Amino acid sequence: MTVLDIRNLAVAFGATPVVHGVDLSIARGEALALVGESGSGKSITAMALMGLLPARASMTADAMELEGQDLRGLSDAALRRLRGPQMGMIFQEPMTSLTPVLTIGRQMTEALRVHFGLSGEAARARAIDMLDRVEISRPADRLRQYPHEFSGGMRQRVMIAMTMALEPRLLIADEPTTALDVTVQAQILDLMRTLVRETGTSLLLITHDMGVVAQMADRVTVMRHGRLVETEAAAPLFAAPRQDYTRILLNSVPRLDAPLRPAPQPTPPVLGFRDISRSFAGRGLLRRSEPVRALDGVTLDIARGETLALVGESGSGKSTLGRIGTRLDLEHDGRVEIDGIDITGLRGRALRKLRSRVQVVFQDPLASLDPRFTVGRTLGEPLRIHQGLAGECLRTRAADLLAQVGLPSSALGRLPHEFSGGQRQRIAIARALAVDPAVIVADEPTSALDVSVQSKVLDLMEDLQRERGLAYLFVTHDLAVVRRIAHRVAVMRRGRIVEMGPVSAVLDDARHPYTQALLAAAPVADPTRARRPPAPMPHTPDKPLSLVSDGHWVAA
Amino acid sequence: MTAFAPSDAPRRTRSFWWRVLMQPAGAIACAIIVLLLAAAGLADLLAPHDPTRMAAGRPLTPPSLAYPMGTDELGRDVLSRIMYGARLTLRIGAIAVGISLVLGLTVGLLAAYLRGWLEALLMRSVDVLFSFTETLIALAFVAVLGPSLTNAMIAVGVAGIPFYARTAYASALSERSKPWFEGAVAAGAGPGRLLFLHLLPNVMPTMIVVATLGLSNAILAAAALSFLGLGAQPPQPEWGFMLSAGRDFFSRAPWLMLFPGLAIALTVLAFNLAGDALREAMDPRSLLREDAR
Repeated sequence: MTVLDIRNLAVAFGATPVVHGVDLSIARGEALALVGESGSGKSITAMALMGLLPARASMTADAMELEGQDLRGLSDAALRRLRGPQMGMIFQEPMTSLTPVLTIGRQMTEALRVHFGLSGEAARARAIDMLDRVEISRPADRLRQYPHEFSGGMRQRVMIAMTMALEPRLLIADEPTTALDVTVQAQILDLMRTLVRETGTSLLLITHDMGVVAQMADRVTVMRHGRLVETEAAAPLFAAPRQDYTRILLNSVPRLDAPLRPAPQPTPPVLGFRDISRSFAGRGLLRRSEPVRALDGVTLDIARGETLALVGESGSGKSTLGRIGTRLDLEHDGRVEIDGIDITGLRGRALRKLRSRVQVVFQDPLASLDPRFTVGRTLGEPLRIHQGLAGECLRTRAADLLAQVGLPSSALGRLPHEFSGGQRQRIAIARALAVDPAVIVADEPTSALDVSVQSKVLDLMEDLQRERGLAYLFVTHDLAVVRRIAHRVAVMRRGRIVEMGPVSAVLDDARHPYTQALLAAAPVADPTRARRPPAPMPHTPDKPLSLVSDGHWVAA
Repeated sequence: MTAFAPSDAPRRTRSFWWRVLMQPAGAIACAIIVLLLAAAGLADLLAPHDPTRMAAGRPLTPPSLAYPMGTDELGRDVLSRIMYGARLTLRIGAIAVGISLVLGLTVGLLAAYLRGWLEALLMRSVDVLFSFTETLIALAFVAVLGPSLTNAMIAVGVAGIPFYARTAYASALSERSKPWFEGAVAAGAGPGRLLFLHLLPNVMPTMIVVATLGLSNAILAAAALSFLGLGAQPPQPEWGFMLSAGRDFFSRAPWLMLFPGLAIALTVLAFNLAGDALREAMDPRSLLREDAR
């Protein structure tokens, strides 16, 4: 029995076609994943289905039916009646889908009353029941709370409860876990799987993450450049993709069972952290609240030519440590050393001179380039400051840097917004290279990129490391990326290092329960792997780090 | 390796000024401002009479072909005075806004860049100034400096500083927290570079909109001061002053108040519309709206 049937869907923005001839069909209780990289048209396809296309878009389709009802040319009012009981939607950022000024209870019961005509009391009972099913404790009390009182993962649970309370025929989930930490992501995916199975709802999952696809989907549709590449059942697609593009996409996904990078020769550390602590003063409206301890006595060394990955979930302090290493954050306790020399107290001119030793690459490549500086000016800036270059000499050197990151010199005269995400990240790397640094702190440098682009940027970083003996402090939340790029890894939680050591030791022989939980939660791009239910996170106080084997430290 | 293809980033399909002019507000504002500039610039050629020459016609002649806006109590041609008045008005606006903009930007940028106790000192001072109405500050200033057109301009300019400083501060603060600013810091850029090459150009678009909207405010404030006799002095053909002088003859010669009043209203309207049109054209969200059409 087909729930959703779309045939030959085409969408154009003005004269520009963005989706051509897409066919989709979903059977009752089936989970279809729509995957593709940015610009593939997967989100546009979903928006067309939901009737949320912008006014400038024009849409044609030979068929577009939900439960046999033609969706084409429905009025806004008719669509509104469909959304909810027929089509439930879950988006990436739950905060934007919940009204901040109304309580959760009000928002949940309103939908139930409007669509099902339930009485206030009945709606409330149903809302409590749903919150209970998404494993939110004390649901009756929670109904009185506002969205901001929930954490990101909790909000997404509420969103799922609200959506599933209406028992939609089709659930459309657009990157539902992309904004969440891995352990939370695993719980949410598990929850969605259970609910979908229990209610017989069909699922259309839109995602870029092959790991999520492998865990959730029965069938997979791959899109690229607005066209359908292939539709196939999940197991054969992952085992033997027929299309080249699908193969490339799958091969680009970093794997947790990939071979390791050989360890570099032991060398003296270039960047060292000694007992670093950092608190952020909490500021309430009327009274000063307790300061938040972002880092608590962290000690680390990074050697020449080495990649040290710093992993942990949001709020673990990994980015703060990176900022302290680049001297963008100077208000901390403890010492920072470069080549064994204490640089903690340096300020002003002395600090600026030293900045050429440690450079930084940020997550969002667009935000990390001055929007009003051409690429040439951005690259020229450090050259001018540290090497006093000017004129033709500067230009040649900047073009040279671009060549090293694989961009032509014609890029020099352009502005950041004229490039794609991957190209911008290359420019940011070129800027970091300009002053010939010893260490680059890379804060989630590939998280905002498509997998195929991520893979190329990681290749580039590896090549540069080999050529120049660069050290990387690589901040990431993705353990598969760690395996791909790092030699050593430090796992952080609540401002402390809980486990540290060579990648093989930490990932293959994790000793700390938190590391084990992270590993268990990481989505694996293999549908045949058993889906392990996420283990509840143990809340044990961490002991000081102790050595368990060669270079492998655990706080347990 | 990625091919160097045109990126997926949004293209600017039309030029900035085109976007400004395509809005009704922008087009109207532009028309009035051009008219105003023409009147001011070509007053020597176009004005039928010397604006200060008394008895150019009989006193209090109603509008006629010879005197399209009539004459005042001293027989001066009102049209000529309005045209020359446009010069004064534009000069007042430009100088007053110039003072507010330069000083406000300096305070705002420095406060946002330096942080710490200087930030607190600068911004709290601005807050104190902000708690008085602009007109009151301007009045106090003129009271100290003495009534003259120049002092009125300075007074209006100084009174505007808090608003410009606040806006520049807020904008600079949000820019400096972005990764590209930290990238420049990491690249080793010193204070001068960070302030003038990075922060200033990124704050300027906002400030241009604020200054355009502020022009109308400044013109109005200066006219008010002149109306109160604290700005322009006779025989300067300043609109606010003309309005005030016309009061005594309102029942017999309403054109003495009508035309200067109209001139002020139109000018203020024009700059307000221009500011709105600029803001709309610079707003990235309006770009999306335009695409959606």
